Amino acid sequence: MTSEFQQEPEVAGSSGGAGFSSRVVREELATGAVLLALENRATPTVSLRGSLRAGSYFEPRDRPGLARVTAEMLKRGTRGQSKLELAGALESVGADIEFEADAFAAQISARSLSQDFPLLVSMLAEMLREPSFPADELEKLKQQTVAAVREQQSDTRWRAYERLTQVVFDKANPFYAHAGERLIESINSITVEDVRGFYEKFYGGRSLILSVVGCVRAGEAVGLLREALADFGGPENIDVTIADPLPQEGERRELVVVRDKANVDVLLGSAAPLRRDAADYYAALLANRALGESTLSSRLGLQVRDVEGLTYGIASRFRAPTLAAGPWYIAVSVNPGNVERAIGSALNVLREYVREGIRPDELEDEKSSATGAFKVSLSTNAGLAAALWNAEFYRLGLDYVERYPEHVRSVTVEEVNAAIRKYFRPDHLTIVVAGDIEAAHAEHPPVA
Amino acid sequence: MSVRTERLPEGIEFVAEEEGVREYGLANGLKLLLVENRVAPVVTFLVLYRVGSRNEAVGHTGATHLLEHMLFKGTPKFNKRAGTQIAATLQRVGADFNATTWYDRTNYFETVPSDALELAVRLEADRMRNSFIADEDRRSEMTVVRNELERGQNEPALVLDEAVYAAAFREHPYHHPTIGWRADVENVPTARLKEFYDTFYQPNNATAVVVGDFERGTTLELVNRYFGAIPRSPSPIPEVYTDEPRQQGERRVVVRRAGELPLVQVAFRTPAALGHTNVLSNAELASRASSPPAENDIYPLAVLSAALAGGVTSRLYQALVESELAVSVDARADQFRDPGLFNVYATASPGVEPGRVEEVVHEELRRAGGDLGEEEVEKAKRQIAAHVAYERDGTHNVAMQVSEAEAVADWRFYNSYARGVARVTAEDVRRVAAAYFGEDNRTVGHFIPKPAAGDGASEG
Repeated sequence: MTSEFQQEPEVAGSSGGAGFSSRVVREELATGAVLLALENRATPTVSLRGSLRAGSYFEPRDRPGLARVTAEMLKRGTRGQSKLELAGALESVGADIEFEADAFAAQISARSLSQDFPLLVSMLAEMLREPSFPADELEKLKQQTVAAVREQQSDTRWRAYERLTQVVFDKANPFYAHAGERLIESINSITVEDVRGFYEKFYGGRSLILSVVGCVRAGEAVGLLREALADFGGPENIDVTIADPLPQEGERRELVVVRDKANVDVLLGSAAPLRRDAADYYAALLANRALGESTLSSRLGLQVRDVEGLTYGIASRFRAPTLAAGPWYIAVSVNPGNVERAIGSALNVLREYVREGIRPDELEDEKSSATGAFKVSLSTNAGLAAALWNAEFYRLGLDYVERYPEHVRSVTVEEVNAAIRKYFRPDHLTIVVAGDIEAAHAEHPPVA
Repeated sequence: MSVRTERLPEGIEFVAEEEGVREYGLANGLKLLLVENRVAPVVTFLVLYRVGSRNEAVGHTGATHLLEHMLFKGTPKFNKRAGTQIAATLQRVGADFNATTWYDRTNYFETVPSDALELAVRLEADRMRNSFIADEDRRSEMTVVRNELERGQNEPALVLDEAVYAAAFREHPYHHPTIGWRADVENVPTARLKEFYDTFYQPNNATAVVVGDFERGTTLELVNRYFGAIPRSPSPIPEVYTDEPRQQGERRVVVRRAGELPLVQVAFRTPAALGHTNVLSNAELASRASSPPAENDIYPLAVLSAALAGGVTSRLYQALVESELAVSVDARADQFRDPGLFNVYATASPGVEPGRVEEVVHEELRRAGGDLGEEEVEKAKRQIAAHVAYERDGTHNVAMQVSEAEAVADWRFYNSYARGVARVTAEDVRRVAAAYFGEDNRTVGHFIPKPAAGDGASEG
C-alpha cells in the first residue's frame, strides 16, 4: 500500500525508498522519550498525538480521579503564565492542546496551523515541564469534574459500563470504574500536594511518546521537539504489571435503574485476557469483527437490528486491548419493552457463532474489510499520527503500518475459532441492563 | 490538459472549475463535483439529495430519515438473499460508509481504497432508483428508527434543543426534528415513503461528489455509465414555500424531567446561509449561490459565535464558567438553506438557578453589540480560519464539507467561506449583535432536572 502514497515532499530521513516507514523520522532521546514525525502536505495543518505513562493505573487506590485531574491541570497555569495567558496564546492562532488520562496513559493531542507549529511545541513543553498547579484553578477544575461525573450518572450507556467493570474487575484494576458518589468524594478530597506529588512521581521524558504528522519537514519537527524536551527527565517507574482477572463462572445479571429514560442500554460482557502483544491478537480481532464490528453488516446486527428491528445499535468490542486484560462486551440499545427479546436474540447469535465457528468466506471478507479499513484510517493527519503513536506505544515497530495487512492475511480459520472459544463464553457473561426498566425486570432481580 | 480540450464522455458537460473543484453536468440533471487529492490511496464518493426534514409535514415527519434507513435494505442487484447486502458489500472492501439526514439534505457516502471506486458508484446509482422500499422492511426498520429516537430522548440537551426549535419555528418545517415526531415515525405508511422516494430520489435533485485519489477520465466515464442511464424525473421537484413570519415577542419553553444539571438555551432568529431571510425556490437558490451577495450577515454571526464562546478567553466562558455559574458554555450560528437560529447553550453548575445563568447570557449579548473590540474579532477570525483548515483534512471531511455547502447554497460557498470570514470587521460583528439579539426575536429554553427517586447507584 505504501507505494501508493503519491505525495512528493522532501522528507528528511527518507532513504529514498517509497516505503511509509522510511519517510518517518524517529529519534529516541537520552531520557527515553521517543519523537516521531511524518511530512504530509495535504492541508496547512499539523496534528500531534502523544502520551506519558501517567494514567489511573498509577494513582493511589484511595485517590481515584487523581490521574485525570493531574493531566487536566497541566493547562491551568505554568511557572511563567496563567491559565488565561496560556489559553490566549493558543486561541489567538486557533491551536488546541488537550490532556486526558485513561487507564495507563496521560494522552496528549494537539493541532495547529503549520505556521504556528513552533509555538505549539513551546507551549506543550511548557505545560509538560513547568506546571504550577494553582490552588484556585484546582478548585475550579474539581467543581467542573464533579459536575461532569454527575451528568454521566444519568447516561444509561455509561451506567451499564460502569457496573460491568465493577463486577468483572477488582478495585485495584485500572478498568474498574468507581461509582459516581465514590469518585466525587475522592475528587473533592484532592489537594494541590496530591497533584504535585503525582506529577513528580510519574511525569517525565522516560515514557514520553510524541508523534507529529502534517505540513512540516519531519526532521525539523523532531528537532524542535528535541530542543524543547531533551532534558525533561524521569520518572523512575513506568512499569505495568497486572494479573488477568479470574474467569467468571456462570451468568450474572445486574440492573441499574436510571429513571425517566426512553431508551435502555444493555451490555453483555466479561473480562477478556487479550493484550496488545498477544500471539492471537489479530485472530481475536477478526473473531470479533465477524460477530459485531458493524451494526449494519456483522452477525449481531444482521439478526438483532436488520431482521428483528430491535435496536438502532448493536456491536461487540474489545475495549482497548492494551497493556492488560480489558473488558469485552456486546452493547445494545433497546426500547424498555424489548430488553429480554434483545438479550435472548444476541445470546442466540453468540451461541451459534461459538458452536459453529467462522465460515471461511466470512473470514476472507473480514480480512479484506480490516485491511481496507486500515488503509482508509491512514488518510488524515490525525489518523496517521495515531498509527505512529500506536506502533510506538505497543512497541510494534515502525514498519507495523506496512506489515498490518500481512498480519491480518496470515490468520487461519482454526486460529479464529480458537480465539472465539477462548474469548466469547456465552454462558459466563455479566449482563447489565441500565435504564427505566424496574417493572419489566421483576422476574430477574438484580444480584446484590 | 486544459479545460477546453478535455475529452468528455457523451452526455457529460463541463460547467466550471474554481480552486480545485470541478463541476460537470449530466444530461439527466445530475450535478457532479470532482476534487482531486492524492494524499492517500483512498477516495470518498458521496451522493447528496436535496431533500431533508424541511420537505416534510405533520403525518410524515421523519419520513426522509426513515427512507434513508430503507435505502440500506436493498435493490434487485444488492440484497441479502443474493449475498450482496449493501452494508456487507461495502464492509468487505473496508469502506467507511454511512448516510445522514438533516433539515436540508440527505447524503450517502463511502470512503474506499481507490480501486473500489467503481463499486461505490455502481451501488449508489443503483439505489437511487431501484431500492425495494418494501412494507416488511419498513416494519422492522421502523422499530430501529424508533430506538434511535429513544436514544436521543435520553439526552437532556437534545430534548431542550428540540423544544426550542419547535417554539422558534411555528410555521416553517424547521419546527420539527429531523428524526420526526414519534407517532409519525410509528405510523407513516410504506406507500408514503415510496412516494417520497419517487419524488425526490432523482438525478436532477442530486449532486455526486468524488474526493481523493482517482483518475479524472475514468471517473467521468464511471459516473456517466452508471448514473447517465437514469432518466430525469417525470415531474418537477416540489418546492418548499412556507416562510416563518417575523417573530413578535419572546417565546419561552421549560422542560422538566429527570436529569442532573439544569440547562439554558437562548436562541435568536437569523438569516439563511446565503444571507436571505425568506424561503427560496431551488432555481432562486442556485442563482443566488452562483453570484452571492456582497453583504452576508452569516459571516459576522459566525465570528460572533467564536468571540462569545470559542475557548477559555471568550466572553461567555469568562462570564459563566470562570465565575463558576456554569460548567460549560457554547454558541452556534446555524448556516442552513432557510433562515435558522443563533444559539447559546449553557450547563449550569450544581445548585445554580438557570435564571441566573440566563441573565448573564443576556447581559453579555447586550454588551457584545456595544463594545466587542478589534482584537477579540481578529482572534475569533483566526480561530475560524484554523478550524476551516482542520475540517478539510482527509477525503471524507472534504466531501462532507462540499456536500453541506451544496445543501445550503452550492460548492462555491465551500470555496469562499474562509474569505467571507476574513472580510468581517469588528463593526460588522457589533452591528449583527445589536440587530439580532433583540428580546422580540428571542426564544429561551430551560431544562429543569427533576429529582429522580429510586436511582439504583451502589458500588457492586
